[in-house]
Amino acid sequence: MKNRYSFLIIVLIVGILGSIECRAQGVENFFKNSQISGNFQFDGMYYNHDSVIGAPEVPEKVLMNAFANINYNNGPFSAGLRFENYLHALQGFDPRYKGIGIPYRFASFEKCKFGITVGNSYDQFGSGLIYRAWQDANLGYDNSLDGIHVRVTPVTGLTIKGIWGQQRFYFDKGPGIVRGGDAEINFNDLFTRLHEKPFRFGIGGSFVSKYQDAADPVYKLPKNVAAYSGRGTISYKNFMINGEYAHKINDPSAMNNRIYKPGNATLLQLTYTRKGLGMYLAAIRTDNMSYKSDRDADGNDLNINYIPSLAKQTTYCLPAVYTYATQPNGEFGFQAQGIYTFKRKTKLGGKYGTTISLAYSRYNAIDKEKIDAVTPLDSTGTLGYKSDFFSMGKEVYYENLNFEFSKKFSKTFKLIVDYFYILYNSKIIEGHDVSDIYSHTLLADMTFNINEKHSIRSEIQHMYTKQGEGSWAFGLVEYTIAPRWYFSVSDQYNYGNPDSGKRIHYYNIAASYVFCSSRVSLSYGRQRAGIMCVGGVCRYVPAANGLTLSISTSF
Amino acid sequence: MLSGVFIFFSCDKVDPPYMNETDVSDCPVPGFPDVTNPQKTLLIEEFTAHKCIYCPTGSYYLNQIKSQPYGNKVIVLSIHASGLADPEAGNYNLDLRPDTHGEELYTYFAIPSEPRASFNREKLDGTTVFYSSPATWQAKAEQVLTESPVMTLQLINNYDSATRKLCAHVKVKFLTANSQNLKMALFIAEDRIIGYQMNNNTSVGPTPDIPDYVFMDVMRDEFVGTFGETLVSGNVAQDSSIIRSYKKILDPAWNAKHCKIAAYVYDTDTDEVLQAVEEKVY
Repeated sequence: MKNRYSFLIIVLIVGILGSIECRAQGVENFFKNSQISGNFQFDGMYYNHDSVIGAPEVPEKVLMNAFANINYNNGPFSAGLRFENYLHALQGFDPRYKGIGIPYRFASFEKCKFGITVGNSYDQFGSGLIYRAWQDANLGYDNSLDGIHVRVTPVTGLTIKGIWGQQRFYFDKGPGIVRGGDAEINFNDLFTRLHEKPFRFGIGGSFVSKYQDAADPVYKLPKNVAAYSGRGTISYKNFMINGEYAHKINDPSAMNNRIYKPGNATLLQLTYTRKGLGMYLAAIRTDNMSYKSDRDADGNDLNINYIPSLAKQTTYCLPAVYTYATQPNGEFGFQAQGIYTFKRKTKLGGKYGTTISLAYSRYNAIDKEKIDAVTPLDSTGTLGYKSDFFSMGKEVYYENLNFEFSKKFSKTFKLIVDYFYILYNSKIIEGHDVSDIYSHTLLADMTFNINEKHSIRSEIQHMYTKQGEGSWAFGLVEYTIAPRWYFSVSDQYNYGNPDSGKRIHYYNIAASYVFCSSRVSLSYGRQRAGIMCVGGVCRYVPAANGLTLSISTSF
Repeated sequence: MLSGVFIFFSCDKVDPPYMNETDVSDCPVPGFPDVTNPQKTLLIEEFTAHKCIYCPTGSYYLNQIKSQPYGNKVIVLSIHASGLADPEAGNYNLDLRPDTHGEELYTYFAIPSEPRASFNREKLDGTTVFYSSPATWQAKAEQVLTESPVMTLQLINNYDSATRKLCAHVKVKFLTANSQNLKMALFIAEDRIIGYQMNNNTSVGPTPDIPDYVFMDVMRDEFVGTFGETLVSGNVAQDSSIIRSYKKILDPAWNAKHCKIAAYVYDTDTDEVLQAVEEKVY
């Protein structure tokens, strides 16, 4: 009901502003400047009970997620809303996504160096180490801030932002209040004489505080928990280095077992790019840096901040089985990546060029020492542990070595070959009490362009591992009739499962039709259980068997 | 900008202990066994200091008292107070002062110098509560121990080593009808702290410094203030009993294995200690 009122308020605001605009400029001009845009997505699935893969009985038989964004824009004014419908939510999405509503709506006005948004907003300060509000429908993640968002640019090169509100919590709001500010200076934009200089630099700083009432009979809980960060960027010609340090005061919560140790996070990135060559080095250290607007929340609920992932991400299904989920309570990670394209018409480049890339990433625990001789690590109601900033913990959380070879051999044939070595600490990442998983995956992705309209793409993947569910093989054939039709057949086969009864085929057939800006897809098959991640934020996806219908469109 | 200033001050830094010590809802009260042979326990409060050259002699005589057959009925609380207890750079950097509580007692009882000891705070000579001349202390202790108890005092400690949370439960049972105004005080004390102690008595240790002196019964902190909390005001019938629970998070600097809790009940009009009890933390 509350959301219906929200919708009415938005319509009213648009109407009032519209009427003001009408009087001022006339009806004709008003409608001439108005723009309405949006998109719609529907995902529905009919579930079959499949005891072989462990797919549970679904009482509703069919489940669905749907949303539509509708945005209105008229010069400096914009407003929008998102209608969401979960009746009931697809398996793997949090069941608290239940019902129909408009959990996202905003109105925004931008003029004379001021940008003001009331309602829900998405934004981030710096790298997001102390504040990031974002949304990913496929991940079922949305921590938009419902309140006010102000952006001021008093002079070119200086941007000041302020936020104040409560975070979205499914169809409700979290109990905490989030307040914050950020200032960023780009010196090359600020000073005219630096405009064209190759040496560019900028600094920024942020401060965020959350408030949540506390009446705990046992612990003295801080009602206001603050975090601050400082960052800087320097670039010279092809080089760029940037870094950010964030600090959070005592924040006992369900995530950190209610310890009182302050948290901190450090992110450093170095990039070098020139034509045909790109290099990237990065390191991150987080220490007790889960920051939520509800101290009792866990999982992905009500995150105020965001810890970026330095682990290599891939869309290929077998190496994606073991994807790293960031560990805000403590991790020490780094990544080194290089990509090089051999020029066309050279021995290695061939007629169309050849690209190779090498990436290595690794995450370890942070060093943890007991606070004294008798108190166990992470004990509730204590400082939890001591940690030397420069010492890395011995336990490896994740390691990924990837080599990729990509070459277009002719107008009709392109080949991508990938090798992944992954060490996956399932106990830390997924909470499963199993040994570390070491996997080797080799895959080939081949595209055959039969003619301008018809193409076939095929993937062959093999993952070897002795741990976990054992080895897997995967095959895929896609047939595309541009620009409308797409068909695919695939099978994931867990042939190496130590339990012979679980050597299962996860087959899938799919077809899509695209017209105008709409796409309709239908697929049938099995979906393996696992985790799905976007940028280090993950959700569990249970095993499923059934028919899936997806519709998406935009206007 | 203004909102930035507001936000900047929006943080609550919590200092240890992190648990609410006044709320004992997480300290379930245990069952107390019956007391079959009530006896009076003696509380000896000793003012001492690590830079007091006469104090090792005082401690020597206290150990003599505790080694007597009645030693299990003797509780010692060593209170490090005065300027002689102040830590300083070098060998005497140990801080054994129980926060401000030692100084408060030192001032309240107008202690002229250390060592001084009281015996249930009784005015054994009719005027004095704290006595010098350690060689006379044993006779005073034995004099007090001849008295009959007017109440029993039982103490049960429950300690969680993971959180260092200590729940102390005290049961008072009146053996006779009471008409006095009584308070109960609880203190935590620690044994076996090693450090430098000044000394002028070669018979108890090297002079002028004892480098590895073992400090015993060192008062560390209170549970309910320096002077305790009201137990009863006025008349209480014979066989009445009162149970009180207290909570404390032990300072990580203290060795919980060597810590103990001392509780005592005293008459607020005379300061006389009527009964005392002591139990190890665990």
